[in-house]
Amino acid sequence: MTRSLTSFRKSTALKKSLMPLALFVVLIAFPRSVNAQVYGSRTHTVTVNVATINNLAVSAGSTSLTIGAANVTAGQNLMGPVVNTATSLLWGINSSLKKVTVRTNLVAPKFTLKVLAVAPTQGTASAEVTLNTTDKDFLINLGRSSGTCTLQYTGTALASTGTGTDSHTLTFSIVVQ
Amino acid sequence: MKNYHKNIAIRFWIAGALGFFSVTSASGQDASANQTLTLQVFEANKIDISQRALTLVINQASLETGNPVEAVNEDGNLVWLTNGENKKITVATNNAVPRFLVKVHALDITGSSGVAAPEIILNDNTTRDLVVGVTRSWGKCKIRFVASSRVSDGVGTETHLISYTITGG
Repeated sequence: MTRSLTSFRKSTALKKSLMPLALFVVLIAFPRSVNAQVYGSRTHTVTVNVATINNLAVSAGSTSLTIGAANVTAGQNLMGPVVNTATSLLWGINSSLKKVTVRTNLVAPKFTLKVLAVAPTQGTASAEVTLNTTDKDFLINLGRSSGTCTLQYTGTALASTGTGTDSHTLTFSIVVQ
Repeated sequence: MKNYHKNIAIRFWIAGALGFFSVTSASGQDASANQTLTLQVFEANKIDISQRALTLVINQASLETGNPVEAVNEDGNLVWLTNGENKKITVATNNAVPRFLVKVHALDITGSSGVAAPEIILNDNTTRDLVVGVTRSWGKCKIRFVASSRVSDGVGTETHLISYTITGG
């Protein structure tokens, strides 16, 4: 017995109407399998490289010391000392064991100038330095840190040297200890 | 599509190269900071005397002449400092008409910190040179006072205010 055209159309229509329902059921039952459909993939390597960073700054670009009549004693050749603690040094280091050195550009100063790191928040202050053109240890044992210290400058002169002016360009440097 | 991927790849390698060079230029770089410091020394002159007061007593007379014997004092020291050029030390009394004779002299000047002027008679309040040729030096000397009187001067007490001054030569 052949199926009638009407019954054939009815079964086809039924299938079509049931299809979305079936699909819906599949989506509900197996959500991951639907989302995990992959159409292609690529990978690449990301490298983060942090370089050695050393930062150093002084709180003021210039400062001064003056020796005059108020700083002398009759009968002594030594004039002074006069002290300046008006400026400070600041640093930031992200690697281990560095030190700060100091030198002046003045080859033959007329008067004596010394410098000392006072109250460093990190590291160890070296002994007071009499400045010349050679780099000398100023602050040692600096690890990964940021810190600050007061710059204590001390100036003296001899009466036998006379009057005058010394102009220094001081250079502080972070170097490997 | 092929050209699109090729462009992406080229941009990737350029970015990578730039990143690489910037990292290597920063790594291991020592830092430094400069500061200008001016140390200025002005002319300074200072003088001081060790004795704030002294007394010379004439209480003896010479048997030969009958005149009073001089009284001498060398206990005082004068000290000075100058970092200037061609200075001198002067001395003066405030007693314009002294009755008894007083002389002053600088002795045993240290090093080459000046030359003693001849002994000075303080017979008025004129300022006189005590030490000359003081240049960029610190010094010390003994101050010698000699007081004398004549019989005709009689007895009495006289006060001098002695001033020592370091001044331009």
